[in-house]
Amino acid sequence: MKRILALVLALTMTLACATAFAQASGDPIKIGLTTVLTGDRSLEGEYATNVVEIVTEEINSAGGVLGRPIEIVIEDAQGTDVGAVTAWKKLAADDDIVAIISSDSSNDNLAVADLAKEAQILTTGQGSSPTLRDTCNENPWMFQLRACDVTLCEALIAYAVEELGYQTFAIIHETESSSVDQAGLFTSALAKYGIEPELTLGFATGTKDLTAQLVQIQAANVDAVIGAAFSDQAALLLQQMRMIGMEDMPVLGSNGFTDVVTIRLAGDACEGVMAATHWAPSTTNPKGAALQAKYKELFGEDCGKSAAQVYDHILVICEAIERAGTTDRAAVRDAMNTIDSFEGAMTTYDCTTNGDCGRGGLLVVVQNGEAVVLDEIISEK
Amino acid sequence: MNLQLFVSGISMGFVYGMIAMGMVLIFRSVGVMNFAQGEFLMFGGYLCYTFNQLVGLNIVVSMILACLAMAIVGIIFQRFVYWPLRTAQVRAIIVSMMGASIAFKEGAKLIWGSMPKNADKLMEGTIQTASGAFIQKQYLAIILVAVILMVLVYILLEKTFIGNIMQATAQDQYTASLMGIPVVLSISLTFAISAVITGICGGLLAPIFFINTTMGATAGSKAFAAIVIGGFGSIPGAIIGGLIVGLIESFGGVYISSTYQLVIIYVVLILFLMFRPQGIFGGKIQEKA
Amino acid sequence: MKSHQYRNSLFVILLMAVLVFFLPQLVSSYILNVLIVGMCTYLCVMSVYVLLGMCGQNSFAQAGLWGVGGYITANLTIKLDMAQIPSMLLSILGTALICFVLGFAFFRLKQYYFTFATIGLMTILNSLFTNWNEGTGGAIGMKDIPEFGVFGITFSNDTQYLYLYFGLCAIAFLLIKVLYNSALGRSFMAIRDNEIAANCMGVNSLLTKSIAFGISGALCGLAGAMYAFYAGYLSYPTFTYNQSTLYLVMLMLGGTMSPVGAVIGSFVIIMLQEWLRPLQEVMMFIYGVGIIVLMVFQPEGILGGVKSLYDKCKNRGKARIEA
Repeated sequence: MKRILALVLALTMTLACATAFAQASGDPIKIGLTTVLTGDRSLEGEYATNVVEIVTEEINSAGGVLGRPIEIVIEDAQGTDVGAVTAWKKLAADDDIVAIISSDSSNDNLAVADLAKEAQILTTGQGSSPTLRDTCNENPWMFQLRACDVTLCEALIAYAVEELGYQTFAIIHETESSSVDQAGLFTSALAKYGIEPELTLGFATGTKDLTAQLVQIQAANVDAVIGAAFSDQAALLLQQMRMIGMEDMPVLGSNGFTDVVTIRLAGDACEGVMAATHWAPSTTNPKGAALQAKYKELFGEDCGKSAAQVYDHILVICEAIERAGTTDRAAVRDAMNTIDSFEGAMTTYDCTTNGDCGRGGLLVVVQNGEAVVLDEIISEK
Repeated sequence: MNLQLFVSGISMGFVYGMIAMGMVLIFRSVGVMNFAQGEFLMFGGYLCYTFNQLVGLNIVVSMILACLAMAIVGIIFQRFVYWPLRTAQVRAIIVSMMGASIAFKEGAKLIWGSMPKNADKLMEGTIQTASGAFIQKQYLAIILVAVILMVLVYILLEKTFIGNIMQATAQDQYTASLMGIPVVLSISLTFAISAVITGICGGLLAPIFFINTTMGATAGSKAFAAIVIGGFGSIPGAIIGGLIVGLIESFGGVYISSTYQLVIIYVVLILFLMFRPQGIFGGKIQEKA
Repeated sequence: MKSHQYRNSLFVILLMAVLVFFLPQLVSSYILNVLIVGMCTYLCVMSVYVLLGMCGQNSFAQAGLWGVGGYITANLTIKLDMAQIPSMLLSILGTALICFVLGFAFFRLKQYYFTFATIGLMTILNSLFTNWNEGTGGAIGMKDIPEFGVFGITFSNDTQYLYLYFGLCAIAFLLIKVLYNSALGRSFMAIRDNEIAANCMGVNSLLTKSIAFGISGALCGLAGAMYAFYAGYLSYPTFTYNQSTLYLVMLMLGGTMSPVGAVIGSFVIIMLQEWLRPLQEVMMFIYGVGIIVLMVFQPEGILGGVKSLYDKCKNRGKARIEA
């Protein structure tokens, strides 16, 4: 009897050891993430925390990075650049942290750019503005992973003018940094075709009743409306547009117009809206489709852009750590430059010559409550 | 186009006016401006959403239930945020209310999440007028409910016994207590009514504007403007002030500037403060030694 | 009595200076960052003290004025290539002047009206910061503001900024203490306690209140310049109405009765926000509830609580002697 017991014990222990070898073991590799957990932009934080669960489990159950599990340390950027800097600094003070992902706002990323260079910590910015791209091209420690908005805006305008034949446009945008940037980019993209927008209107974030702006657009009688705004502002714009008598007006939007949140809020008003964006849950990219499936299974909702971004940032940084073979901050930064075509959930990343890494996006149109991919946008380096 | 602007300006104006009326009720009762009034709007909206979308009740029933819930919220607010500080300096009460405002916002986020929410409309559909303006029936519903509420509040304050008690307490708490008026009850009632009025507006706005945790802040500060423009301390003044703010917002956004739409309202506020501080309906301002 | 007070203050400042000197060796650069930004916040809370604690007027525009100071410095150093110290001085003077002039418009009436006017001013300023591309960089903000420099030395690390800004804050504190004990300071307090009586005694309340607003503006202007040099980047989400309310909360927490209240209040809340970080998304909710609890149990702030404790002990001692 005792011998059988001993045998069983030995077998159990061997089995346990065997599974332990398959799991990542040892001290975790820490990667920092600043995201917005409190305040007005907290939706971003919800998506980020959710996806961190998914990606940590995915990577760790496959053996981790360099055989060690990863741990994502999250700090609250509070939605201001002061908060973003403090959160970044708190992470940077921890010597175990190998790299830091900065929050989803080019303003926040710009605020930490110089700090990243001084402290020599690899920092990836989630923003996509051209100002950030320029900064990342000059600053060897700062990387922009999403394809720059320039590419997307130009692609959308090219599609609108060349394929759809629209000639006159009105631009309406939220007066917050990304949307203002995007409105400017749309205007320059139109200028390349010799077209000037008939009307450009801005409205403050938090403006609920957009009648004043929409009646002016109605009076302008344009072929299409170009919008740059985020989630609920975009949804309000679309809903009120349809209610005010512009049901058939084509809408070309920035990436906020076909985001999961916008489609859900705007409902039918979102049908037919086109946008150039970085992510759509219906993407055919294999990693992306897998992420969407897992997110939906775990959280009951479609995976939003904020979540897909963080997912890709973590994957790219882990790839750099693997290539470096060490967690030394300088070596990891050098390894980033060797990544020439890494497949993420959103797009392919090429970090070789400079800090502008994302190579593509998606041209989507909303059909039946879903953002359907029309075409892939690829940008040359 | 002008009709469109007029209707949306008036209906938004009634909303600001309702919030302003809520603030004035509290001010007349306890002498403090409620810096958390905007959050009542937001909370009312969320409660409506809960009853309507999560529990699945009809919108009218949901709004009535939300009213009852907001009355309770108002009483709790009064009990914990105002009552313990009733003898302290005014600015301590203001700070306490600001704390409550933050707590409401963050509490709402913890309960319902950051995703903006929706609710059913009271009246579906749009009306198309002969001049080509499209008016959402919900805007008309807002105007209707606002007018009914105003009339009810007027009847309550002027014609009923309870209203007289409330007015007495507002005029002079000490003397009222000497007369045997239950001051605590009266003040609690005032807060409850204020919360209900503002909360209903939240429910009315929910289907057209989506509910999120920040919707109270901008509406609240516009209500301040409404109070000053209409006349400090006057209830009809609060409503008229609200209407004016709504119209300035609408027409100013088209004829002056879309980007600086908010600024226009506050410039008008400052001009009123400089040249006609008593607003339109306010009496001469008396300073007591 | 007066020189006794100054001696005490100088002694405490000297003690703090010694602590500050050794601080960079003891704490991480993250805490240094929190303290340096905290000093800019402290100056703004001081400005609320001058206006509210001394003069009895509540203003919600301080965060906007902080921004004005910052953007003035940014514009002067980037666009006009001005040296740092003159830019800082012009920020201080510029903001002070704007407030002084606005004071004449805003102060003609009772307290509440001034407060509403400042709420309006705050919104207008925030809108300008967001939309005025030429003056404030608009929604994208202003970046690459040069580091602070003097006598050819450019400040490039946290330690230097810490020392310099501590020095500036100490000077500001002493100046406000001088103000507190001066005739001007007393006229502020006279207005706070009973404006009509003050008028009868010959205090020109409009002019005096405008001066108070101007001084408070100067402090915000200094804070803005300091922040611009340190952060190198300014954008509109930093200068909001919520930030202004934070200053009021800090002063009320510390106690509105003396400049020391501003120090205590700002320090406690800044460190509290960092200590509560592990709570993550629940942090702000606890913070909001905490403010209510604090006001309910101690409406006079920490300083008030300390004072009443001190009085109680003194009275107990006195009673024993008398008995």
